[in-house]
Amino acid sequence: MRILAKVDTKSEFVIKGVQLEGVEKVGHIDAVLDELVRLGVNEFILSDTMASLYMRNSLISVIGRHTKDFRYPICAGGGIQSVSDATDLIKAGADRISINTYAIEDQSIIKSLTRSLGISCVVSQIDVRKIDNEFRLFTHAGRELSEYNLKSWLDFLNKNYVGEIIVTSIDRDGTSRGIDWDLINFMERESPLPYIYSGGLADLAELKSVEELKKMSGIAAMKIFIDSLQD
Amino acid sequence: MKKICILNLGYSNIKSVRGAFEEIDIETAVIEKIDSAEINAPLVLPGVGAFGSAMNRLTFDNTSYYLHEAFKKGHPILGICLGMQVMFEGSEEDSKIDGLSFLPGHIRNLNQSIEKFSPPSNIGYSRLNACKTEGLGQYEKFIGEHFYFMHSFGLVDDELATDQKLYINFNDQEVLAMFHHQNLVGIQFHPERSGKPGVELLSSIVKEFNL
Repeated sequence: MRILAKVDTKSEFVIKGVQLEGVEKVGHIDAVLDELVRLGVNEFILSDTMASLYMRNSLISVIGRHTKDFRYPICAGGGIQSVSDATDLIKAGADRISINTYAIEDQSIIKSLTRSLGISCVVSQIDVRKIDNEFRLFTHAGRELSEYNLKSWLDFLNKNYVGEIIVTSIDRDGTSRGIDWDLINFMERESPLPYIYSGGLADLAELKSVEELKKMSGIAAMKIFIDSLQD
Repeated sequence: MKKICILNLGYSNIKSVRGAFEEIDIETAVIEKIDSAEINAPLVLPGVGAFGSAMNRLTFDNTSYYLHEAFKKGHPILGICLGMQVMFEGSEEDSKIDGLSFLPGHIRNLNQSIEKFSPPSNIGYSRLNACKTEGLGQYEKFIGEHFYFMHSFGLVDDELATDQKLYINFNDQEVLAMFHHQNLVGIQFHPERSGKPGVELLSSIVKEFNL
């Protein structure tokens, strides 16, 4: 199974929390990216977790600084509200962009993005938590509950194709407790599109258990890499 | 130092393409248009975005005309991703707009299956294979190597009259991954984002072009 590093940032620092909360600084983005490449990571998802709050994405300068010497694909996101926000990231050197909060607030934006950038360049990033036995979507880096449940969002994406979905299990995020099979089974059943799963990966051996899944296109992780950096 | 010219096709991966060439000591210059068939360095057409918008950009100031002249004269041209696709006659992405038509073939939507789940885009690393190894030259060593792809359209059932062709399998189809035909090299994937093998591939292309 394809494995990606899911790197969340706050200004120039990589952060990691548990269940998207109580975040701690892992290190400066430049140093962390270098270390991840050294570990053999060859695909990256970068998200500015404060962008939807501050209305600006600090990854533009980070990616701009790196892209020339960086030989691996980057999907970048955080606070994208328009095609022009997305193209700022692409021009800086991102290969794809991901959108969460504002796609949920304004449903027309996904269509505008795929029309200008092509379907393969756009990722729908969703943060999911089970509430009253129902998977619900959160926005603003897991801080706010949206009105969508997972099924209704997947139905929306079925009419508004993107290249991939990145789905994070908020409950498992940063816990190393193992991946969320409840959520994965739901995605396998209902998703119209390939999805990258994120949240709770215990160890690399767990990747074997997802090998036969039809719709999962990858697993994104960070905690597992941080642990090996600190060893 | 050897030099190449990168033609700006709009939303583009220009920075990373430049970086990858510089890693193998090739100097790069970015040009906005072509206004003469006398181009002083091999050309690179990078590309991200949609077929129609790239072609509109190439035709509105006659750049496509001079590209054609350069192609006929045997000027080396490398197309990456969308830059490869525009070398053909057209694409299902924007069926009303003609491609440069340097080569026969139509770019197809790779998501054909309605019966079973098939992803609309091929995203991630895919392994290259070949129908036969004879004649591949410098490119033979890339069979079995993984490169980064990010596309929803591609060429299936190609009619290219060259032995220098490599493929990937996607949605049960053999999709053209790269070719070298006369003075044209086309790459569907992103060598500039495929780690070390990507840089090695660019280096092989430079050698085949005898730069």
